[in-house]
Amino acid sequence: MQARDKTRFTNRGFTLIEMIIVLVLLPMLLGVSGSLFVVGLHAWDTGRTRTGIREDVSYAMDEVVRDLKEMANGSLAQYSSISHTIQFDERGGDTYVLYLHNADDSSFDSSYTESLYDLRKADITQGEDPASGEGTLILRDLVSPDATTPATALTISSTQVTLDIVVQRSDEIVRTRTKVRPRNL
Amino acid sequence: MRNMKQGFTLIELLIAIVLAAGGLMVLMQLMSVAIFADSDLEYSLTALNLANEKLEEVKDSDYSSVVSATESPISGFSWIDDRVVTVSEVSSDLKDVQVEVRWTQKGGQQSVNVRTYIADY
Repeated sequence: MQARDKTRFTNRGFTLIEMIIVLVLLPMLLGVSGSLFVVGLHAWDTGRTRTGIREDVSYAMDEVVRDLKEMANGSLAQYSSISHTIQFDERGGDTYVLYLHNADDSSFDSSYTESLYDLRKADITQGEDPASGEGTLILRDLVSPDATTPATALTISSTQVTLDIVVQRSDEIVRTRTKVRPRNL
Repeated sequence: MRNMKQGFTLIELLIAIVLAAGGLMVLMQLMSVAIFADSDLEYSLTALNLANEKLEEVKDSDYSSVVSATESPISGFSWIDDRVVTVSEVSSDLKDVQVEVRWTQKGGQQSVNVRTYIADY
C-alpha cells in the first residue's frame, strides 16, 4: 500500500498551477528574446547597408579627389554647361567628364528628374559619350541634385570643386562632403 | 530506476530557459558592438572629408587671410559639434595650419585632425 502510494505520487505529473506558470512564463521569455532578436536583425541589416555605402563612397571619394587634384592647368569646366558635371584634362592626357547618369532620365541636361543617379567618368577623348551613359562607373545610388535636401551636388568655382555626395540605399542615407583645389591651377 | 525516468523538473526547465535567453542576449550584445564600431568609422570618415574640405579652402585663400577660426554648426552635418582652424606662424612666411573636426558620440567627444604648412610664396 505504502509502495503503491509512492508510485502514484512520483508519477503525478505537473499540477495545474505549475502548468499555468509555465504557460505564462514561456511565452513571455520567448516574446522578449524574440523581439530582441528582431531588433538585432534589423540593426544588423541597417549596419550592413551603411557599411556598403561607406565603402563605396570612400572608394569613390579617393578616386575623384585624386583625379581632380592632379588635373592639368586651366582645364576645369562643366561639360557643355550641364550642371553637376565636371570636365577636366589629365595632365598631358585625355579629357574626362564626371557626370550623373540614370538610363530613365533620357535627356542629358541640367534637370535631374529621377530619384537616384550613378556617378560615372567618361573619357571623351576616347569617344566615350556621357549622354548615353558610357565610361567607368564610380558610385551608385546618388540622390538626385533636384531632390529636396539633402541632395547630391557637384559644383565648380574658378579654383575649387565641391563634392557633396548623398547616397541612398533602402532607407539609409549617407552624406559626406569635401572640396578639392586642383594643385596645378 | 524510477527516479531516472522522472524527466525535468519545472525548476530545471526554468533554469535552462533563463540560461538560453542569457546566452542569446550576449550574442545580441556582440552584434550591437560590431554595428556601433562600424558607425564610428562612418562618422570618422565623413569628419575627415570635412576637415580636408576646410584645408582645401584654406589653401585656396590669400596667405594673409589664413587665420584661426571656428565654424559651428556645419550646414548639412548637424551631428558635427564644430570645425576649428588653428593657425600659428612658424616664421614670417610660413604658417602651421591645423583643422580639427569634433563630434559627440556615446557621451564622449571624438575628433579628427589634419595639418599642413602654408608658405607665402
